[in-house]
Amino acid sequence: MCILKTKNLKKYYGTAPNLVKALDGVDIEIYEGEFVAIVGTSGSGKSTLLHMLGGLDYPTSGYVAVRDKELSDFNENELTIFRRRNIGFVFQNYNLLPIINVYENVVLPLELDGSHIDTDFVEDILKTLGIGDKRYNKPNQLSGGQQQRVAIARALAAKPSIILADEPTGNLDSKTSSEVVGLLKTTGRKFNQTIVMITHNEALAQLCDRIIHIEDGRIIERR
Amino acid sequence: MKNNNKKIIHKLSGRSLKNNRMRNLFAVVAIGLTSLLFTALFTLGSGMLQMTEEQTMRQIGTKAHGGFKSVTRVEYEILTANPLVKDYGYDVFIGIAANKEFEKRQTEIRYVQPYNLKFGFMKLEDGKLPEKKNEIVLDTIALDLLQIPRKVGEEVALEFDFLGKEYNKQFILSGWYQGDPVIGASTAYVSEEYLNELKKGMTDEEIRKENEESLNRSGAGLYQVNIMFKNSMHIEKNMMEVLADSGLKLDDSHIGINWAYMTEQASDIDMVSAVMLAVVFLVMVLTGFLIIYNIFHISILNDIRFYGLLKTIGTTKKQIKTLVIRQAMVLSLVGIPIGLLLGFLVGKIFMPVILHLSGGISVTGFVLKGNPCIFLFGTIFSLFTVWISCRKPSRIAGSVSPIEALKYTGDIKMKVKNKRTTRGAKISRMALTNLARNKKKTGIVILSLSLSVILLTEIVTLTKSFSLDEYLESMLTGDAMIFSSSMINYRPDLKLSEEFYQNALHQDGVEEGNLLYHNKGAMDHTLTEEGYEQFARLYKEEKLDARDMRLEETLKDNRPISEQRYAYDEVLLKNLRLLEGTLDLEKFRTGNYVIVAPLLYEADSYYHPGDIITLNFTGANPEYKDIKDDKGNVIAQELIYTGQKKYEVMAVADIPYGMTEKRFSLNALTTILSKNELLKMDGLAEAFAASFQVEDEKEAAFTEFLDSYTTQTDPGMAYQTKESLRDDFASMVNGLTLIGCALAFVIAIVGILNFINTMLTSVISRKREFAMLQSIGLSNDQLKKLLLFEGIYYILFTAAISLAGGSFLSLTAVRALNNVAESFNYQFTLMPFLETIPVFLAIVFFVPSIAYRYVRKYSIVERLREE
Repeated sequence: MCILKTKNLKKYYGTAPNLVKALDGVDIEIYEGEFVAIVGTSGSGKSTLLHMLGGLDYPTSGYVAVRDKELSDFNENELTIFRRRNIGFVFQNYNLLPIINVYENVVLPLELDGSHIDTDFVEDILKTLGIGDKRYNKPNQLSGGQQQRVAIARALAAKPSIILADEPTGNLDSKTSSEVVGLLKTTGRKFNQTIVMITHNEALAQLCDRIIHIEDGRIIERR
Repeated sequence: MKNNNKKIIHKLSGRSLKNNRMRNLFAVVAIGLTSLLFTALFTLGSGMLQMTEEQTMRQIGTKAHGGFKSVTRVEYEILTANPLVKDYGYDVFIGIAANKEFEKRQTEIRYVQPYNLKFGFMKLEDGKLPEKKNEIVLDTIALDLLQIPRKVGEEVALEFDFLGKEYNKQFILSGWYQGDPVIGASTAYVSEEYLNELKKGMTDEEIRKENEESLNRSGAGLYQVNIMFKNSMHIEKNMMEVLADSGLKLDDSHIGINWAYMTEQASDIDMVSAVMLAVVFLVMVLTGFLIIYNIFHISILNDIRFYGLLKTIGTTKKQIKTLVIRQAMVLSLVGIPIGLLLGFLVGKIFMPVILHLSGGISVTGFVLKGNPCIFLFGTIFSLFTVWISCRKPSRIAGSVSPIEALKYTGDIKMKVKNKRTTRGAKISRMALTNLARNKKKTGIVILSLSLSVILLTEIVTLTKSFSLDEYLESMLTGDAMIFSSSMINYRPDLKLSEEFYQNALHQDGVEEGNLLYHNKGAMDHTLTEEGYEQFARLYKEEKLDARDMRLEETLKDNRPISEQRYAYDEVLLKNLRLLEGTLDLEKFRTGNYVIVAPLLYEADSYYHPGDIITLNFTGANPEYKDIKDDKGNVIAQELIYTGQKKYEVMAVADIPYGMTEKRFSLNALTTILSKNELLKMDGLAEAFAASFQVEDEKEAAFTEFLDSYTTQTDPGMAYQTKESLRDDFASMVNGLTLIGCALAFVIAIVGILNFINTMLTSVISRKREFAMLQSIGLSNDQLKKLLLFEGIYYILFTAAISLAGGSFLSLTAVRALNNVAESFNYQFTLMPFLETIPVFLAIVFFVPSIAYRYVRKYSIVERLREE
């Protein structure tokens, strides 16, 4: 089933003559369980597209639908709650909370929702990602790679149906990078999660089910 | 689903607090200072109320809530058995000492049950309570009048009347206590044995019958019972209930209520004080708001990425708001108690100053009691200020869009303007631009600093504008005045002692003595047609005092209003301030003219020059007749006049306060007749004061004479001299200055703290930016200069705002007091402004240096790398 869909999605910043067209009419459909890579050069609009898919930002025109529900139908509160239950984000700059430790960072979305924490599952993730022994450390005590793995763990912990990853391997060495993507793929398969990953690494993109090319705010058809 | 997620917010707020030590420190200090201000204010207020209550109680003579008068032993026991009565005691009134030395100062003779003393103010200085039949306790005032030394064992002879028989008894002084001039009479205490001897075995019923037959309403020989209830609420209701429950056949006249407890008194606050109080409150709330808001505002903005991140992960707006407010509450938990404690101490320290200001009668031995209401209200107002201060910041945090977390920017919501200049690279220009980054934050700091300067300016302007000369002129006529102590003690009988006057007049150095006369009773005056029209007009214009109970009747049927009548030795007439007409002394001497004074607070009067009005006169013992309605019920009492005469109004003139009897009937007509006319026509005329002109060198000696006369010879008299007024005035002005400056000082500290916090946080948040600048060539000195310039600009703007704002307020609000306060002569001054700005400047130099040192601690790369 089509889990993510955009229709004529546009995001413009500023006004003429300084109009920036970050997205200029994007139509995509992503199906449940897919592992999709979004590739494009700097400034092509990939991050913007990802933000739109996750409801982090509002389109100028067009719409985004998750499971056939248009995101514009939600008010801010509903959107936030929807996000924490259904979407896992992995950012390029990790965006971990410096004031709490690794374990607390990982389970934060669950705690915010007040829902039950599947401790076995969390343990599993931590172990798989190789950060089990670092659970009481604060993020600023970890290396970049370790921090990224924590961010991924956080995205996985709530078992969201959609994972949106923005250059998750951008700051990692090649070995760790392939490990991370491999992990995403495995867990995605295991929990029937849909993963959308932005990358400019062609090799990694090949590991995905599908590649979407975006350039100057528009999709370029290339398989 | 939502029930478990409170914990995480609590945890996050805890961690946030731990992560923001500097902000916490500033916040706690700011909240503490705000709380201090409020608590000090409430402490002073509570102290004032306590003072008033105690004063009134001393005048009445008891602390008890209520009392039953003139009851028998049996009745006493029944009444006090009522469960409502928590505590009780009694004394027995015997009689008034008839010794001629007590002519001017009433001395009562009582027996007091020792337990009952706890309800009064008597404290033995030496000796003990009387036990033997011939023992007695007196106060120092009575002893001084009898010229008996204050020593146990001295002989005292008292003459008095009890149940129709005269007594002259020799006593031995068994003890004595400090007399209180505030109470209307001294009390002498005798023993129970003696009381029983006097009662001669009569029963209480027989005593009561004896009292009734001799028309003696004093209740001599019967029990005067003091009653205490659980608290001072509904005293009257409780007393009535106790009486009703007892089933005794006693009427209301046996009930006494201690009106010192009546809360109606507290509501009798005048307009000017109420306005001043409101202003002080607003200033305090504003002070607290400016700094607390800024602290949280800056903190939120600096952590905006953090909040954006929370939003991204899925924290709702409400959860984020709770996060912020929870931190504010925890900080309040620390700051407010500190402020409460310090505020109470400050209030205690300043209490004597306030008491001086309000012309407190006697300040000795006043101990300010800690009233829980002080702390309750202090906490409430502080919490309120914290709440309104962090509302907006919490909303900003909650409304952050998740994108904020993904962007790095040091300034939020900045409108991008194209600046077509090329000069922006100069250090001074950069400093100015930096200030403009967050205009709100900068503006608040400037406002906060300006507030204290403006306040100080107004206070100093105010105190400098009080004119001693005008004050003296209004309070006193001549160099010294003498009058009855009843004038200051709010007792009846204002008659000036002739003996005192003659004695004073013949003192060395006295150049001139003049008498002030008045009608000692309450005259009634029926308004003429024109007068009535004016009355009705004034009523419509709301210039009349609405508390006047006769107002309705006058409006409806032109029933009489009160008239206060004066006359003065001719020399004093020149002190009157003419508003209409002229003063023609020759004509006035004929006795056919009257001068009319305007209404108390308005420059408006019922009559104008040329009007013919009728004044009424009575003999020395005025009689009344009952006015009945158609059913024969008495609705009013009317004075029976023995004389009436028409006078022409010569002028409308203001009487200086010092020339009045210092009490005023509501909406009364105030008249001045020529001296001879008053003495001729008015049976109730008497001299109530005298004014003296004294040679300068002899003033001190004259004051000494007045002092010794009014303490030893006749304590019923009092005096006022230029010297004592000068001291009063100075202490009043000093007191006001002290309090005002203290307030301004605290507010200045708050302003400076605000500035320091803003500077420090701005430097810290720009760490990376500075590192970037330094990496491309900004030298250390230049960085220092940049920070210094920023500080200077802050002060420059503060100076501008406080100059403008301070001057504006001074020229409008403070100058307006010219019309309200009597001895006020507006003087414009900028001194405080010139004195505080340099101080601020000095402080401002320091802070950037400290901040700069902090920045320099890390190398450039370190600073660039940090998030």
